[in-house]
Amino acid sequence: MLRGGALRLRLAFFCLLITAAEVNSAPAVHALETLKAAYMYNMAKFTRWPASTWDSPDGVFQFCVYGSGRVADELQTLHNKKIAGHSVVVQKPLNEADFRQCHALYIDPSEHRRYRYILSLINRSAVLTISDDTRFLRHGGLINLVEKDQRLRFEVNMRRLSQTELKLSSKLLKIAILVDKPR
Amino acid sequence: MRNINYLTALLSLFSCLVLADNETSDLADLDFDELMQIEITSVSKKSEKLSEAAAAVYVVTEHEIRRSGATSIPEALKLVPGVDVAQIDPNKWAVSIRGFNGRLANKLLVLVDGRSVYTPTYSGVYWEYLDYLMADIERIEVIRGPGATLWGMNAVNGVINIITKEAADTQGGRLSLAAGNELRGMAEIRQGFEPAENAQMRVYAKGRSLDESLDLSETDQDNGGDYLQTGMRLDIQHKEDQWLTFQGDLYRDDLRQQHTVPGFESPYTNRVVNGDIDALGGNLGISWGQLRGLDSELSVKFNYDFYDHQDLKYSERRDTVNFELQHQFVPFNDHELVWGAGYRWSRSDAASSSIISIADPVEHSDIWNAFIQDTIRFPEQKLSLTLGTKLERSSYSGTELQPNIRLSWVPDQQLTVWGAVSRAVRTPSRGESEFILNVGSAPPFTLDPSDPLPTMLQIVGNKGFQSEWLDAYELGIRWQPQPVVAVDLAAFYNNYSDLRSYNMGSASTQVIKGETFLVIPLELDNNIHGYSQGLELLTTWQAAPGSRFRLVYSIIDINLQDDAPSASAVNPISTVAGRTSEQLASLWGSFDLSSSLELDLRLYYAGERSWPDSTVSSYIDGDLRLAWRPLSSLELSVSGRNLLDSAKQEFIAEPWSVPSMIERSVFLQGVLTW
Repeated sequence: MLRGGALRLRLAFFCLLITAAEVNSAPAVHALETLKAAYMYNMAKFTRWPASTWDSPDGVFQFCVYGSGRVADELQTLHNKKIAGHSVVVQKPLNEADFRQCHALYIDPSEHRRYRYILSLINRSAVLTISDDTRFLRHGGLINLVEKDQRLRFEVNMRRLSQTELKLSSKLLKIAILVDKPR
Repeated sequence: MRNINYLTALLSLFSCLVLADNETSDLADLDFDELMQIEITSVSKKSEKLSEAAAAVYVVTEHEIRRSGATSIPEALKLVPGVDVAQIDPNKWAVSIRGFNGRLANKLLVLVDGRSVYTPTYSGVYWEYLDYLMADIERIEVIRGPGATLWGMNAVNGVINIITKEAADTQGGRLSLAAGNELRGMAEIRQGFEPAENAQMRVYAKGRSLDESLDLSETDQDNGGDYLQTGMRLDIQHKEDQWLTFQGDLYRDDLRQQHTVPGFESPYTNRVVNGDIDALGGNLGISWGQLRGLDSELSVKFNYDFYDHQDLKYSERRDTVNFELQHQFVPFNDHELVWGAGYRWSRSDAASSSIISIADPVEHSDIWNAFIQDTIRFPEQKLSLTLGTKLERSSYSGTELQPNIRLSWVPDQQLTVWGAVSRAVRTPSRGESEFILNVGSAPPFTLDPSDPLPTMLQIVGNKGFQSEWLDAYELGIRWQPQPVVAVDLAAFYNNYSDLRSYNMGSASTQVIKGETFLVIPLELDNNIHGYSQGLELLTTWQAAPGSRFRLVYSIIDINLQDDAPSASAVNPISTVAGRTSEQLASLWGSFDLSSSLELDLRLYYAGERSWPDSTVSSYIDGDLRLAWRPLSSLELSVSGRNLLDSAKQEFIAEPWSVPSMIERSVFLQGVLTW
């Protein structure tokens, strides 16, 4: 049996639980993964690859995705969109040699043990490497997607970028969080 | 009954709240200015591999740990789907999965960074000796159901895997101070740094002081506690393909407890005694891993672990070394093979007391194991089949085979359907095979009006005591009908055999501590079998970017049968089955009131638990946490626990305990990072 006071306390607690939600009712929610894929597409659009990257204008843009996860699935939607005038092909590398074809590379955080190993397989000077894991930049990645104040932002490892032949547009760098030597 | 009605009302209210809309425009066509305006949520930070797992898995993330305000691991496990957490007294917890709860729940295996913290002396986990910095825990993986194929013996009803952060994720400094009425004080400090390039390290220390609880007549008990733990972790990345980790922890706990002990002299009644628990322990581990190509990973682990536990009932020093090797690789397309082997050696040195007598103080034991598991994918059918088995041999039992077969069907990103059949074994503990426990006494003429001798009830270890077996059948579904709603439902049927039973032996007269007693022995045997069945439901709903609800419900039905029942004072079945709350439910609302203000409200229900001569009533209680972050480097919070009752009893521990009422608790905490 609950005494009157104890019951009131329970009801008050429950009401607080419900009303706190209403204070917060806000516009529709986008899946974070969809947004991440959109960010990556936009980043690639604002990046210039060295002139020697494509032999012909018909060459495809290889967007490599390593590891499985919702972001990886979401990136499939970039198929046939255009980056630098080339059609995007989303590809999952299966063996070491496949990584040499990549123009952009996303690695799922579940594969964090493999960051260094995979980065050693690509042509580092001309691949835009992206993940959504703070460890990624430390292991040699270029871009990391971060959540900040309920918005999606991204960090760019400037030291690493300067070692590549990639050019990120000033617009991109203006909104990026620049990281020199990430810890 | 009232509680059930209340719960039903609560559930229906929850379900009639309207679901948020899901917008499906193509975000990729927006430009950065627009993208950056979009508010995001952290609905699911679960590793996707887990959402496709053919097992009932839940991961407690660091975010959840922080927002629960947990200052210890059992607190962080409260409200986790299917986990039954009850506080026994300020220092002791009963934690289990799928029934059989107890102070030392013997069917749940617990590991910290892969190192078992399950003691083979009594088959269970001393939760109070796991006083890590909660902020250094990356995640807690909770696997309901057998995990024996990968984790080995005693992973019968579940596995809890506590995984600490890599040193790289705890760089910089962190200082946390807390004070309150039950958590009298807590101080934590951690510093992370880079001793060399490609090497990261952290050192930490934590101290806590806990206030006493109340006894059933609401008087203070003498059972507070002071905790101290320190440790380090060093991670080294070597070349592209190798890593090395050194870890170590050391703790010293000065706890107080009340026990009910037999009366060895006139009037021979059980009496309550206060006493110390002095504990010292630590561990040291080295692990090395190597990538041998994209799809091949080899790891080797070595640990040394010791504890020294001393209290009125028994003293034990245990030293354990453990070695493990694991190799994961892809032998052919669509196959993922993992195999491994391990060896554990342990030495226990235990001293007898008036309550527990041990014939040989020193005992050596060892276990070796080997396992192999293959996960085969059938991409066209969207099926994934896992087959595996473990072969294990320990000095307490013979060679045991613990196989499992798991199948999952993942037709799309929103749905996973899985099923599993597995076998697991709970091995005898040292206590069960050789200790003699004086459980309780009775004055002359009470049990038998014609007998002038006082009576002593003894539990007598049995070298012939065998392993307990489980065959488990599981079925589950994970479904995300909308991006903001996720449902996880699991059903299980567990078939147990050879569970521990007690045979009442013939009474004899014995001299104990100079007094003659009529001793009634309860000898351990394996005569109980039966089944349990149940359902576990988890629903998460992101109602708005800043508000998230999580609803958890589980129900279990345990049916056991003793093949050789004896008219003993202790009915082993009711002791085991009754301790479990048939139903558990909780509702957790997490709200970001502003970018610097967080509110968490948690309401939970636990059903009645019964013991042979007492019950712990069902209860509804609530926790609250309000945190304010005035600067990005400073967080101030107030947390309340068990707020809805001034004090309540949650559990009664195994023999010799004194029931405690857990009081309402409030504490303030400040966390500074640099």
